[in-house]
Amino acid sequence: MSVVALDHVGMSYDGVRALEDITFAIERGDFMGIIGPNGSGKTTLLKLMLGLLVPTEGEVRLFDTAPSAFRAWHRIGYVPQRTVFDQSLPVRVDEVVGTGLVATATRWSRAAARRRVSEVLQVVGLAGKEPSRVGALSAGQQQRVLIARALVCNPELLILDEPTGGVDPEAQAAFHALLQRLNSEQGVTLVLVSHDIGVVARDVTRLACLNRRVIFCGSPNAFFTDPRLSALYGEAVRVVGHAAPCAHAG
Amino acid sequence: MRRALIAGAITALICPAIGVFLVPRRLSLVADTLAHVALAGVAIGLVVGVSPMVGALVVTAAGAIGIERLRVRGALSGDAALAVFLSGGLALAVVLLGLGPGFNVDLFAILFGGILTVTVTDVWLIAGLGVVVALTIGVLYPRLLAVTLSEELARTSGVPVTTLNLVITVLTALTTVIAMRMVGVLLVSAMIVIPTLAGFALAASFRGALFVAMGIALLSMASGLVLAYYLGLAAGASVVLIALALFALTVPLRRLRAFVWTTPG
Repeated sequence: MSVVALDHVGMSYDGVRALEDITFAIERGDFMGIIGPNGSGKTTLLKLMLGLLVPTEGEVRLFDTAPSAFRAWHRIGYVPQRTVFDQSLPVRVDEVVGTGLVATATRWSRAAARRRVSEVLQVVGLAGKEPSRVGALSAGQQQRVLIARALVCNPELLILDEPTGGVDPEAQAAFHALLQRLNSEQGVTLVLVSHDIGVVARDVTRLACLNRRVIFCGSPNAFFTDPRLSALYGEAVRVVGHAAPCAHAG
Repeated sequence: MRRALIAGAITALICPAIGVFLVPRRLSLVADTLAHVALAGVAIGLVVGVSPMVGALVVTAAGAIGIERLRVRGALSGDAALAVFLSGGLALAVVLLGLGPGFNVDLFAILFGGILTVTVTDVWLIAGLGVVVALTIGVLYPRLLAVTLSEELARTSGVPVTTLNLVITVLTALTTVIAMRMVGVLLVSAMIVIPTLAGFALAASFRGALFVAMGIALLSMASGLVLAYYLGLAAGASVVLIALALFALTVPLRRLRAFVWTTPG
């Protein structure tokens, strides 16, 4: 059973095609990276996987169930692209992270919920931030709060839409190390949308390139030797390793 | 006066309890709209010969469901749906009340509240509605908070967002009927919104904001009733003016708190 399966999925908004004939599956234990230029449909694809959108063609299956009929939401964690709530509200970090626990059918006692929230905050490097007002945190810290919220139910599938936007490089490295541990040690299936091709290529086990259609789906190594990279990003693109200085033309 | 204080206390506790889930989502006008629909319910109740409050309860609950259905189906944008129901409710009420010059109804009390004339039956009805609202919010609090912060994230946590939005709207309808008896149709939204805003301004957590808002609403209600009783002022308006004054006080308090939090050492 695939964790996520898309079968000839298409999506249109007001007659505009956002996605066309998307077919692939994500297996248990995969670390799937999804890349593509702006407007290629990456976020739309994630929302279709989560049932936030209904495809205009084709079928989406989540743990072999249609998203509309899916009930075991504690098995899934989702980190959206940016903070999605009003930052002027007096909401504490532990209150936001605690809302992730509503996905579980069992009621958590106050003490157990508090312990679990503290555990995940420690994992994402926000230990001791429980009473802090979310609106007073930096953008990177707010994003880590959302990551903690996604992890609080111990999900089997974690879907992340450019989760390190606004996060400093040191925190990014720690976050990617965390994702690696979740995938390799706990077997969590990961779906990561990112603009950072270098990081995605280094960390993931499978890579999908999107530009309204699936341009490529396979191993990261095969991607870098595939001429369709230029079809995706245009002739001027080079993939530059983070440690390598840029060569100047003149 | 004792009945007024009991009914007022229940109203003061319930209004912010629903307000904290409306204000952040820019749904403050829902209460105002439902108050105007309640006015139509009062008129319909008088025409068919039932208690005006029962008429208001039935019609407001139906109106709440209608508003939410229109909004979910996208048939009308949020504020357009509210405008349709607000104006329609008021127009229907005016026509029906005008049809019956013999109706024994204190229009001033309906519009601006008649808290000092509240009856034992009113108290029991308000208490019953208050228990329903309080219990529902108590049981659903984690999910209501999730939906209030982000509908998208709530959906991905399996929260039935559409159903909960309907629940919030119906609870608002019940709260409107409770508050309408106290402060009148025209000031219901003030009791729901102003203490909530004060709570958000002063508190350091969402749960704290709820309790602060309740405290401010209780203080406003008690002070307003006492002033109205002894000075012969309009009770509902007095309550709202005190709530406004307390909210105005939160501005310098909030700045002082920000100064203390950001000052080193």
